Amino acid sequence: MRLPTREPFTTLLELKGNGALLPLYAGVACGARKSLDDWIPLRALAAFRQCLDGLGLAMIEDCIFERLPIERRIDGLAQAPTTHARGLPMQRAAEASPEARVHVFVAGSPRWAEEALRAFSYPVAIPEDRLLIRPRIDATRVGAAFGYPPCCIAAFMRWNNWFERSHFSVVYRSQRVADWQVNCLPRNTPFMAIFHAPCSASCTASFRMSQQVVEAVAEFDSEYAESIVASLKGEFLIVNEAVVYKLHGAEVDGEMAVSFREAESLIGMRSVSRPQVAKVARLLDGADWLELDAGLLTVRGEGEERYYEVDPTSGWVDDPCLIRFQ
Amino acid sequence: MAQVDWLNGQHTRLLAVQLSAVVDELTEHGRGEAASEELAAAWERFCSLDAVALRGALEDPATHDWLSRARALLDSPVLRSCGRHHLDRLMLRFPVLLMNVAHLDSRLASGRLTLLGSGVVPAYGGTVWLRPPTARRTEIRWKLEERLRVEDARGRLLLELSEDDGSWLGGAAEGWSWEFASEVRGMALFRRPPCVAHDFARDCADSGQQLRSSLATLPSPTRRVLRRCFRAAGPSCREHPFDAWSWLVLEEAPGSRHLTESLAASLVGRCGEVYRFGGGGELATQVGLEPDALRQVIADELESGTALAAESTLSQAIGVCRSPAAGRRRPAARDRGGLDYSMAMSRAGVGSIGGDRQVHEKTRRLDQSPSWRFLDLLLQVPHERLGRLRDALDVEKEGEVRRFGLACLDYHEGRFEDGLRHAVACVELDEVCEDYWLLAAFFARHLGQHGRFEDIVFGGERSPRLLAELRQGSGEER
Repeated sequence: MRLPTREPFTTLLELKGNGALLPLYAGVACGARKSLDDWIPLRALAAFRQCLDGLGLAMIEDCIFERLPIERRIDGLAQAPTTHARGLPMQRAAEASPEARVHVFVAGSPRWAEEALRAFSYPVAIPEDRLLIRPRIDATRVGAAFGYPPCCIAAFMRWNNWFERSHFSVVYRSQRVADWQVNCLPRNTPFMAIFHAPCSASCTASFRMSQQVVEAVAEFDSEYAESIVASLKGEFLIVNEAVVYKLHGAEVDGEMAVSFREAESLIGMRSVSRPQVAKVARLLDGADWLELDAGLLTVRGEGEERYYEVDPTSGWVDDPCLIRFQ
Repeated sequence: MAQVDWLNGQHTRLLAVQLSAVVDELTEHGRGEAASEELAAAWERFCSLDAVALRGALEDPATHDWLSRARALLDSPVLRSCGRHHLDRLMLRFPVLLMNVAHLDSRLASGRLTLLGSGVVPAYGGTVWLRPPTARRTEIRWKLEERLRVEDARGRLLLELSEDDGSWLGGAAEGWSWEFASEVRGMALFRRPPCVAHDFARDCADSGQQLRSSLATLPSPTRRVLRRCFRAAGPSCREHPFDAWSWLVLEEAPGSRHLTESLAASLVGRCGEVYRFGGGGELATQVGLEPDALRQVIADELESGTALAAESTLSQAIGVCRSPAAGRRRPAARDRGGLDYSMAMSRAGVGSIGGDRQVHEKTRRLDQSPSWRFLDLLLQVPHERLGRLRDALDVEKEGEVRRFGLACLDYHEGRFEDGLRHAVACVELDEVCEDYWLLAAFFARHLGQHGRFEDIVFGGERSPRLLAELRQGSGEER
């Protein structure tokens, strides 16, 4: 996969320090979505704002994120398992560490940036012992502020509970093959087009948003856009929302069996440290073939056969499924 | 980092005060079976709510062992009365507590550190918790060999701490262990010279002197401010076990201006917490806290931001003591009462949605995530029933139930200005309820009052002044 080599992506990449959400900046600039949120190194904030000015985008700061040790116990963590950061208000920026990042909203207009700020409170640890979880109804306001399709917002409210179901599996289980434009699985990588989970694998609003984002990226860097599309196509294994793999070089070997060259984790979340994450990683290490059969994942590689069986008592709900995007 | 470590040690001791108050309420002041049953019932509800999170945590290898032990211990009728969340906090932090307690009132003889004091009781299954000074004195022995070993008066092993490659490991007689290096913020006090540090020398003859010597390496002045704090705290406060350590700091060690303010604010905050969680002011009376003198210290010594936080904590704590709630002997630590919405829901025709979640138990502690239980429950109420629910809430006789219910309904429906007024009214009815303050904060955020959101959430401000601003709905922010 080829990272962008043209502006404004190269500057954004340098200032952000990572390629996450890069395509969405083009999406916001072209109007495919109203706003996005991101985390910018505190030391790069001024330069980042200047870069956005050049793109005609507005930015508003929320708060500063400081890392907490992954093993740190925080009250409320069960409700926001991917969040493991301490929050500081901007006025205390002088106290922040060199590694601190600022949670910002980037939007097509100052009004939309303000709308996002009002709607979205990130559940950081304030102080260090509790996560300030927001009321669940606010997810609808956040989705509206970002410009997500209303159907997808409604689906999120209905299905997004990691302890009850795997939302990704609910979305993609109905079809064995789907269009790449509705693929949100690489959303934590630089090769993505939509961050939200579509309400279904045939959601036309999500299809349209994804297409618009890729086209907007292509306006700046056509090769980067091609890499994004290539990344969104292929065979994917979903175990739960935090355990997702792309199976490179995949070839179908039966309805629910594939051979592959390499399994790439698409997790990308430092804070996710559940046992299932490690278990599946060990399972797929060195593997070149897998089959799904009624909740049992059979994997072969290096001359041995291994199994991953869904454990209904394990906390996060596993719901393995295979989906191919083309 | 050393400053943060020290303050985190202070925070840990606040939790110990809380637990002390709870234990004291049940076992020393003779509330007896009624209180035990009340807490046991609350604890049952708490356990059921946390079952998923607890189950998930048990899968984590790093916590599996001690959590398994904790679960077994929780079945004990003795520990049931302490409240599960207190035990959780204490078990996570008890190494820090032990190390702090070890230096409160200690002397070393023949290679052993003997702790005498009213602050410690024998461990139960490897857990130690603290009692207020009215409890009987108990002896704990600490052996300093290659590892720190804690025994009770009969020489039974309670806890053993050993250092391995920069991490601290703990074990008890039963053989379970866990790695708590990341939690041992307070241990930095004793392991990281030259800042607030005390190296636990293997053969020290006088650990008190060791502590004094190492604390003398702290830079710049602390003593003047702390001396004033302690005069304000009252002479009997010196006898309180949690103050003995601070006296050592006062006598021996200067500190930076920032540390000075942080320490002072922390001490004031701690005093305020003693009021707040000390059973309607009884414990505060015991330790002789003098709030007016503390207020003077705040005004004279602290910078505005720190002063505001300290004043806020103290004011709220005083308010609790002087409020009708305190007069009815309903301090936060023992008030497990919830807001019951089952009748309103029934009148509105929404029946049994959410089951027992129709009771909203209020969050009272600053280190707990807010409970949005009732607010989240509204997501399950059919849209066409919301109007009827509003009518049903309007006629609720219980003021707090009505106000909070309407505030939640307003939040759900995006009526932020109306909802903020209800949330402010809730705070006026119960100013120590975290859910009310935080709901007001979220209303403020949705109304574009980001500064007020930050004051409440980040600043921890709970002051009458901020409440007045929220009440007026002033659009001008500080």
